[in-house]
Amino acid sequence: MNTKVPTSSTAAEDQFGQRLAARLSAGNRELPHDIGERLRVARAQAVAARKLPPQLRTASRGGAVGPHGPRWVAAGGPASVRWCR
Amino acid sequence: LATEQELSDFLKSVERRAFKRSVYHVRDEEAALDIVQDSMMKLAQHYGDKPAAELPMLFQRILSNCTLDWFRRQKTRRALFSNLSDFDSVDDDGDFDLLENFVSPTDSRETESAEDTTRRAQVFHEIEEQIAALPGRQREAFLMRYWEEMDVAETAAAMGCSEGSVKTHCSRAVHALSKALKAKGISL
Repeated sequence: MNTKVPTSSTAAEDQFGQRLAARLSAGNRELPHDIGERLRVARAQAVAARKLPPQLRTASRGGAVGPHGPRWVAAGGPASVRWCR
Repeated sequence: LATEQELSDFLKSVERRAFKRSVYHVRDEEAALDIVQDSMMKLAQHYGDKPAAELPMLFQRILSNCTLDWFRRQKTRRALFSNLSDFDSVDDDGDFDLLENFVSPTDSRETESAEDTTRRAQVFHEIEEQIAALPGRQREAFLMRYWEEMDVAETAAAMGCSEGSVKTHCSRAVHALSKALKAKGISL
C-alpha cells in the first residue's frame, strides 16, 4: 500500500531532514584513526588500479605501445589486494 | 577523463561518509570497510576513465550495489529480511506531527556548555541509532537525499527507482525519525 504524502508538508520535511543531516555531519567529523588509515589505503589501492584509456596506459609506463602491446596491463596489480588484518 | 589526482580527491571527499553510511546499513565496521573498499576499487577499475563530474553518481550507485551484494552474501534469512525486505513495507505514521518535533532553526552554539556538549553527543548517537533502525530503502533514500545532499532525481537514479518512490521513502523516513526522537524527548 502506498500512502500519498501531502505536498504541503514537503518543505517542513526537507527542513527537518536537513537539520538531522547537519547533526549527523557534526557528529561524524572525526573517525577513529585506524578507520581513517584503512580508508586511505583503500583509496590509494583504488587509484593505483584505476582504468585508463589505452593511450594513457602506455604513456604512463614511459613509452609508446610496443610491438606486443601494453602487456603490463594484464599483469594483475593492486586490484586483488584486500585488507591486511 | 578524471586525472589521478581528481579521482583521489573525489574518493577522499566521500570515503568517510560512505563508510558511515555503510555502517548504518550493515551495522558492522569491518563489513562496512570492505564495502567501501570494493566500491572504490570498482569505481576506479571500471570508471576510472570517466570524467570527474560523473564520479559522484557512479560511486553512489556502486556503493548501493555493493551494500546490496553484501546482504545477498549473508546466508541467514533473518539478516536478509530484516534489512532488505522492507522495499514494500507499510509504515503507519498516522498520529505523527512533524512540526511538533521541529523547533526554531535558530541555534545557540556559541553558548554551549560542557553539559550541552554531552547532550549534543547523546543526541547524535540517538540519531545514529534511529537511522540505523530505519527500513533499508528509507535509510538509503534519507542518507542520499539529506546527508549526501543529492536531489530527488539523483537519488532516484542512484537507487534505481522512481522519483516518487524517493519522495515517499524520504517522507516516511523523516516522519519515523521525528516520531522516534520525539519519543526520546529529543527536539532538533
